[in-house]
Amino acid sequence: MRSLWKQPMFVIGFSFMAFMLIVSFGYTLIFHDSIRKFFYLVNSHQKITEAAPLHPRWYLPFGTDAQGYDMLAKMIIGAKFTILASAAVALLRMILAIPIGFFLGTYINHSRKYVNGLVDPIHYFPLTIIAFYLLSPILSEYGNGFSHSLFVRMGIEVVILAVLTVPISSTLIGNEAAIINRQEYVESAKTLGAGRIRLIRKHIYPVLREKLFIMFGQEVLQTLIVLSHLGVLELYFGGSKVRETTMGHLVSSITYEWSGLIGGTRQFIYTAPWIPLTPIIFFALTMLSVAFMIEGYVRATSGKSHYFRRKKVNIKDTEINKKFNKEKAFNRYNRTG
Amino acid sequence: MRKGIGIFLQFILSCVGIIIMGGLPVLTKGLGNGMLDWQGYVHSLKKIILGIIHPEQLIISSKASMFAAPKVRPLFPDVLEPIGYSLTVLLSSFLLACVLAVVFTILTLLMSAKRRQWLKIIFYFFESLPDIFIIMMMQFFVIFLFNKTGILFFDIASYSDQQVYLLPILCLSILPTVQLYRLSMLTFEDEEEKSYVLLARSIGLGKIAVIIKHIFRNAIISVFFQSKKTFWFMLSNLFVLEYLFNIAGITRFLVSHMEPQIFTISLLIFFIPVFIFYSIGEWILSSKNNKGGSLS
Repeated sequence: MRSLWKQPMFVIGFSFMAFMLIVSFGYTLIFHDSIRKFFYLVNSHQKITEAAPLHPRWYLPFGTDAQGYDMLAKMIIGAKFTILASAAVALLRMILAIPIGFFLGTYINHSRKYVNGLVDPIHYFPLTIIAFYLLSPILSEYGNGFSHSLFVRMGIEVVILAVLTVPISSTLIGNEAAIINRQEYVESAKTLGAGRIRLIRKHIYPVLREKLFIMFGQEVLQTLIVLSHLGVLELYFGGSKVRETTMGHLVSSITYEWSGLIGGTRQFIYTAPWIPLTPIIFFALTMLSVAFMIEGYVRATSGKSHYFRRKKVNIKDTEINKKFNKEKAFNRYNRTG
Repeated sequence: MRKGIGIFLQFILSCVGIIIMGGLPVLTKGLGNGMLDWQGYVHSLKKIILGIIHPEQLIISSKASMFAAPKVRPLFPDVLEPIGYSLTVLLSSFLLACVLAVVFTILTLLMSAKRRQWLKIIFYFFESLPDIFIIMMMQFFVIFLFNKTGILFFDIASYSDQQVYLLPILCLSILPTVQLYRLSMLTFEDEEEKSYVLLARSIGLGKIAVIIKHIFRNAIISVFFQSKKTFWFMLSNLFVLEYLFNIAGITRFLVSHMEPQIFTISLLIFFIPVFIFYSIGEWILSSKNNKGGSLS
């Protein structure tokens, strides 16, 4: 932890996120979410030169959308919803998964194999479509309006997105905890009479803390992906407003969160590519900065980039690999120090 | 034999899991008011199970436009075509990703250590890009090429019944390739440090020969076992990809038929081949080559 702020990667990632959040809240406080609007541009002879959607130019770095609203302002207003939502989902996942994982790793160590087998099939369920299926009755407004208020809808969405992957996260944590539970120093602590709660608090949690932080970062990344997917499927964070028109139904987002700005813009990819690409680029930047933060954190805590040691593993293999990694890390330590 | 029973049990459990989940929207509809509609949930579960027992009675209704009368058709021959299409895209891009990842790994292993490090860092940040970004960029790039050269290299989207394969498969395989590349780099590098490689090198075998003949065989099993999460990621990715390419695949089918009964049963039909594919792969690999020692 000592040198976290000396890691350039962590600082870059963190400052991007902090900047987006501060600007987003500041914009709402100062300008009250008003957005500049340009329907058309007029030249000196009072002739209309261009109509919305306007091309990107120096005072409109991301152009305008089809209604003439400034894309950048929309992105700034939406940033706080998207970033905070993904952080909230990831946090809730960790809060739910850590106790369950520790419980699995220490209390029911023997039948953990069966729990793993039970959780394994989740890997065949496509997360996006399940989330879409569960959320669509709550989030889309068909016929007689929403049945819940905006904040309730957001809350429900966060909870459902979080709960969906809790089984996988908690078995991962459980497997990690079980490995530590078998270490010699834990055995000796047990011999000296330490209870399970004490083992978790004093021996397992401190060892796993760094890994849990990394997991948190990865959960944020995954949540951002799911949010962007839901945006493509026109299910926006906080609800989609549906208006039936003669052109079919028009779906729009209630807040300006980013997934709402992705959805329904695919038709512009040929004529005005900045409209669909801007929110996607912002998604990509956010995810990159989270990845930078993870990498910086790993470098700060282990002294060496071992990001490439991180394994996205099958639950069954986790123990074996982790044991192997630990041996390797131990060897490396012995060699250098 | 015990292994077979285990796989079968897992299959049954997964099916039960899908069915239990299939009725959930009915239950969660009133979540905000603190009401859970248990009766409706049980009712919809009953309907799903009834549908599985009598699949020939299932019907789907589709509307061409808002004012047209709904057309009613039986579900069964109709659902198979989009699912077949989606599975073709999914499995072929998974295989493509595997091949590409292994080829890139072997190429990287021939490089010097410093270059490897750089390559890994670049690939790592590439991996954290959202998939939509890559799909959109590819589409944009193909259009850009078309504008510049006048040649349409790929079909960008499908219209009516015509099916596109090449660009969707390519797009779907990019990120999995990167993920699998990282996995296989890890395994290959672990394998590279083992003593049999040293022995093979010391009796005078070439670097490429050792990698392809010896390391590859041992490492590939482990890579396959770890690839499950990539496959999971690809499933989610597939749905969005179909939407963006306007493919008449499973996504369009599922999104346009959101009733619990139809949704659950279509998802089940889609799930079965995927499960069989993965289980067979796992089973063959684990029974065949356990002696190389790379599994443990």
